[in-house]
Amino acid sequence: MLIDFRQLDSGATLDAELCIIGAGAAGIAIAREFAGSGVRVLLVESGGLEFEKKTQDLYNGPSTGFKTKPMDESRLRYFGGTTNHWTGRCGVLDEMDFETRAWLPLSGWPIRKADLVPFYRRAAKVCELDEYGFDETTWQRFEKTTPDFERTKIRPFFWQYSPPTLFGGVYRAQLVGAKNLRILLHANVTEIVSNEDGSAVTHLELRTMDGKRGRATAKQFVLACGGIENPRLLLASDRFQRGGLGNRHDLVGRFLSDHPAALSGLLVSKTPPLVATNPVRNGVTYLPGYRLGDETQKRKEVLSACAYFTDDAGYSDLFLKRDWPGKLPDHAIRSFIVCFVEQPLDRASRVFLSGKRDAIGQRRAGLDWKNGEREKRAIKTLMLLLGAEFARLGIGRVKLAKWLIWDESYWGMEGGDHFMCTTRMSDDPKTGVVDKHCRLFGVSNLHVAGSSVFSATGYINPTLTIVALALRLADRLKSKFG
Amino acid sequence: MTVCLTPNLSALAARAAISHREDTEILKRDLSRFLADIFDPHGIGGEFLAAHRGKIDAARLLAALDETPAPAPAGGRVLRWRRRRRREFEREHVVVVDGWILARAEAEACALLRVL
Repeated sequence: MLIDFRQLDSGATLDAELCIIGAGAAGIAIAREFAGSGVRVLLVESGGLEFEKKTQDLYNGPSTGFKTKPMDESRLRYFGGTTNHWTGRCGVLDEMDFETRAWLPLSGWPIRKADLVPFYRRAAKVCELDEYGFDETTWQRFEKTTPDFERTKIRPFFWQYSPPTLFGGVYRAQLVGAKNLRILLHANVTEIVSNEDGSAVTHLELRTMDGKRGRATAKQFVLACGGIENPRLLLASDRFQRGGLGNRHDLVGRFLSDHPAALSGLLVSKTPPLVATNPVRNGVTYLPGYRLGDETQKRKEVLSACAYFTDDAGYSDLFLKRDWPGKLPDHAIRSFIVCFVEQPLDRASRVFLSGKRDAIGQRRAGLDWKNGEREKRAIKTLMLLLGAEFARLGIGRVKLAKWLIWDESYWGMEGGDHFMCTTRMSDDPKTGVVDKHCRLFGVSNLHVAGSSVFSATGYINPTLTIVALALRLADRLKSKFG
Repeated sequence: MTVCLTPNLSALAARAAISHREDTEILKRDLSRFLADIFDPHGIGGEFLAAHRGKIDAARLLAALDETPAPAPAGGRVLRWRRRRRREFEREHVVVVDGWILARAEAEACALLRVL
């Protein structure tokens, strides 16, 4: 059932057994798991069914750190969330991403990859992918083998492209048709209110853009608003908990991480290289990727990084006109190389409550995103190895982008699409905000879903992991309702 | 623009000046064969030389490229250079010249081709 909060009487209270805040990928994935069950679910969404400028403006906010995309450009605030404009690129974290690495403080997750694989398989169906498979053996589906890279240096893998699944459009009918499920639109959660000692959530304060107020009550709550809004709302819920709900150790909003991405070089070859081919199977496009081998990461104590190939015309202008005018052969086949890199966790990199207020009086989120030399070093390490391996195997020759060559602090990396780790999962409340079951430390009935719970970033696009973790949380919540 | 890193050639003993009997054209041909998949070897060679600011000449380059005064194996010096290139890629002994990722042997060969 769809309910527009603007049509309800002021002061209305809506009650459920499970209340999910946010109808993006995570919120919708969880809600679907309960559709048709005996559990009364309330799915609360700030926006409507379509884009609305006034609601979208709530996402605006200052950025004081490293340059990133404007916050109201990368995210969308209506039913379906940011899946309304995502690229669809899906991949899985590596095993090493879940492990503690001696050269990387706070690395590792409190769960293993094996714990998540069953949920990745389910998430792949939710995102309408082909048969589960992301490692180099997937090349066998296309009756091809990859070039004989030295695997300690370069490991091939795959992304798969979702159509992309616009969660709001694809799953709306199922959710609207579920008798146990109500979708509440145009309802901004302005505060998560707890009891006085902060040990449990009692209700949510709701507000429309024109000031109408209401409440939502439930036995269990899930905060699923994304990597920036999740911490913002917790920080703003400070009626009884100074510094915000679940923030006893001043970690909510900290460790703000992204996947710095950069045009890093060009592969020039005389024949079309297999490494830059995007095969298709069952209507799904696969994108080959190449990452740093585990042994190389350990040996050189570098972050994990990956590369893929594109013939995007925009990159052509950037590389050929900006970096190397008149310096490239006209006759050769060119494939631009774009790199993604993980980030080390930095406490100083954070989401904070700014002094600016939005149209409904809420303190806007501010970003102070940090980036550094380690990310550049990892990308350069990867590029030099790719260059050596491609040359050794006769695939082609690599020319670096200039920002990797200059020693000055010239950063070719950009971010702004994958905000993570801001309510980090950990076994220890002194290093995280949620436990391994995504429950907020110290709060018995509040769980968190989305990229904010990531313990570490890896280099891979986050959506499939977001959905996998959401499905895992849904199973956990089902057990609470018997 | 030359960037980054070149090997320290000063440690290598310079061989005697290229013999008058050395056929420069044969050497150029061998270098061209060795550098067949390099785009713009002359341009790269120029960048390499600019980074050394005239402190290097053809004799020193050839000595560095050959690494050893021993006679070339069967198949000639191009085979030796290719073996050296493969070793350097395997051992990650690469340099960046004009943005290109090269084996050190290739950078030296480009410079030698430019000088000849």
